[in-house]
Amino acid sequence: MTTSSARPDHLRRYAEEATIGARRADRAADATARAVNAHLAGDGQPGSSLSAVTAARSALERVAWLAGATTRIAEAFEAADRGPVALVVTVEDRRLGRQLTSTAAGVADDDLLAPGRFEAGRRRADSLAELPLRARLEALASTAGDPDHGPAYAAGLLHELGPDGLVDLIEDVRAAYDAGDLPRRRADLGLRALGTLLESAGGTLDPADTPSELAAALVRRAQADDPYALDLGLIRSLGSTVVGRNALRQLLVGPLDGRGRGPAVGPPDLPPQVVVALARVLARPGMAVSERPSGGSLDLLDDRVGADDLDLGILTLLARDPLAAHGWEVGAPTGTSPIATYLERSVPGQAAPLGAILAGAYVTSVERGWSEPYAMPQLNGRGPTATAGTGSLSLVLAAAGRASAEPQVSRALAAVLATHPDAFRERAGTAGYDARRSPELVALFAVLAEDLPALRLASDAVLVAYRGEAQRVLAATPPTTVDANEVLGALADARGVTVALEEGARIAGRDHNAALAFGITVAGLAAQAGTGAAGTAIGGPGGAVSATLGRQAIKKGADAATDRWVDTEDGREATGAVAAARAEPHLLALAMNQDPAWRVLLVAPDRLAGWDVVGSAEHRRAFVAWVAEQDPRVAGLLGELVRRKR
Amino acid sequence: MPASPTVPPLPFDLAASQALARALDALALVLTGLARAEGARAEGATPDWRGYTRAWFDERHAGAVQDLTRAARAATDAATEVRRAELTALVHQREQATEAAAVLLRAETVELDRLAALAAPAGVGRP
Repeated sequence: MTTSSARPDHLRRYAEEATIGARRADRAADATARAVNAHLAGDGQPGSSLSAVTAARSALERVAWLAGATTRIAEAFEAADRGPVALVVTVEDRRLGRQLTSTAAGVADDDLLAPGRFEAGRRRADSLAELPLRARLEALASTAGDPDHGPAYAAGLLHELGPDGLVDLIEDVRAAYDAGDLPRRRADLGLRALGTLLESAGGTLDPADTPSELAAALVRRAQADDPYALDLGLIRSLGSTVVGRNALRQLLVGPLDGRGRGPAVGPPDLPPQVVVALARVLARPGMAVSERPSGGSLDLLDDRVGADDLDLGILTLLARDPLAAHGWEVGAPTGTSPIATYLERSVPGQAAPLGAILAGAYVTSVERGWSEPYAMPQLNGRGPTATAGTGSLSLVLAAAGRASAEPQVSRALAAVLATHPDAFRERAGTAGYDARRSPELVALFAVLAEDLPALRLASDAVLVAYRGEAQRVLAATPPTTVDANEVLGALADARGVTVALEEGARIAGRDHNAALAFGITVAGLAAQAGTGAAGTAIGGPGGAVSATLGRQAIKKGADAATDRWVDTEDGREATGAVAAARAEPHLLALAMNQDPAWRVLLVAPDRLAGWDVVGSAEHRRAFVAWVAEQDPRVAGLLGELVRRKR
Repeated sequence: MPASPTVPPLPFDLAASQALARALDALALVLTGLARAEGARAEGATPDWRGYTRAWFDERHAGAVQDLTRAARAATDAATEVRRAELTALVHQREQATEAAAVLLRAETVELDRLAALAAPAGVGRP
């Protein structure tokens, strides 16, 4: 039992004198403010005089506030005193805290009120113990929803309940629910209230922080030995027993869903980062600031992750913790993939966590550097660079093609495509164009395309990833022989992915021209390389087309052509290769029109912008006629390209 | 004859500026005095004060005294700034006045030379 002592008359005297001093200084601040106004009225510059007055007033307010709070402390000492009359009053901290929560509320800050609130939380836990279960859950729900109570109150309540009390309460709820004595919704709300208290006791944790930052903050708080903050020993005690871990899981990931029925009211409103941070702290102190691809939530789940029948609660926790998701996937025996297993099962309700787990294991892991992006052996020449876990990606992709279509999984697959484009190229094969339609890949994209946002994400991912690859191929090709179709040929497997995406979209009942868009994009890149080579070769009036201007024009032209063809039904008759052949000379002419040296040679360049050379035979003829009208140096260059494409 | 040189006006009210500097000095003095008095007052209040409320008070009181000291320094700096602006304006005014006097002197010299030239053929001033 800790006590506090003070002479209330001394505290009051301090408060009175400090108030008088602050008031006197306030008058000086007022006089200065008037002098500032007169100075400004006389056309003077304010300089820093205004901020000096503001600083003075702020400091004086703080002195006055402290004096007011000290008066409340004196009153609390007097009210809590039950001993004989004495100048020095000695009282129990509990009693003093209780008085302060009523006398100083609204005056003092949270730190001064924390002991009283902690004590109030403890007393509340005591009173709950005497209530029947239903009433106890109702009281918990109303307590957890009161924002005035604050972190210390929640910490006191949980501290008084203790690990045993928490486990008992949760077990009571489960038993009553199983016996039919407690409706599901009421049980969930009660447990959810416990979760909210847990979050509240976390205090000033900022949910915007990363799990590691939060975990480190929790550990720092525990090391600071603040008796009115969340007791991490309580969390660790829970984690040390099977029944405790079950209880904690229910608080963290959703009450009662361990029985596979799906939550009635959803998991507690704990921010995912807080859940993960608590799980990490629970694991062991050293893990709190580590981002190793193991541990963390996995330690919390240690007794279950090896099982092949994880419940929705555990999957939800893995979904909230990318590090744990990655660790779960890479920690599986070689040649197996837990994610693939669960994807194939397609258990209703598991799609959302599985999508997040998939993204955590294969996307977030790359973004945060836990693993490297997958690279095809033939591209880097040194064998696969895939690290642990990425070898399982092929199992995941195969399973996804056999799974039922769910938006969360589809969008995660699109993100995986953006992160690991080579893994998809590998599956497309490198044979001829028509044979390249890998049935497995088509099936995968058919699942993905069920969700329109996922299809769009995948389409963008394909263009971005393989455009980069096309640039690398072009850079390695002698500039004089640059040809869009040759580049497309060299990227047969990448193009096969786009064809499979188109085919998958068609099966899903959606029109999508991924291959056509890719062809036009490659044509733009080829035109860009070709202009530089042609300009150098003929040493024309301006030499090579200005690189920046040419690139901008070609990109603009290629994007416009892509948009037009992706959005129109008419474009479906043209393949990517045909579109590339038609677009390339036109894109080159557009680039010339942007270059000051070439532009002076062009005849009627304003007509260029209005032609759709990919989709309209009439426009193609008009373009050929335009080429024939040009200066011989321009006509020679473009004419040769047009003839070659024919 | 050219007119007498005039002193250009200051761009602001000098009296108001000087009053502001004095007010800022006074504010700094009061704040410094209050900070010192706070230290003494707290010593008088705390000999028998024990427990978590005392720890809370010590922390908050130290912060308040620090705020007072900072505010006093800010007032002193602001007063110095005001006086520096006054001085700069006065120097500028003096320079302008000197320049005007020089212009006037040159004009008078020219005028005197002109008068001397007019007087010379008539033998004005010759013995």
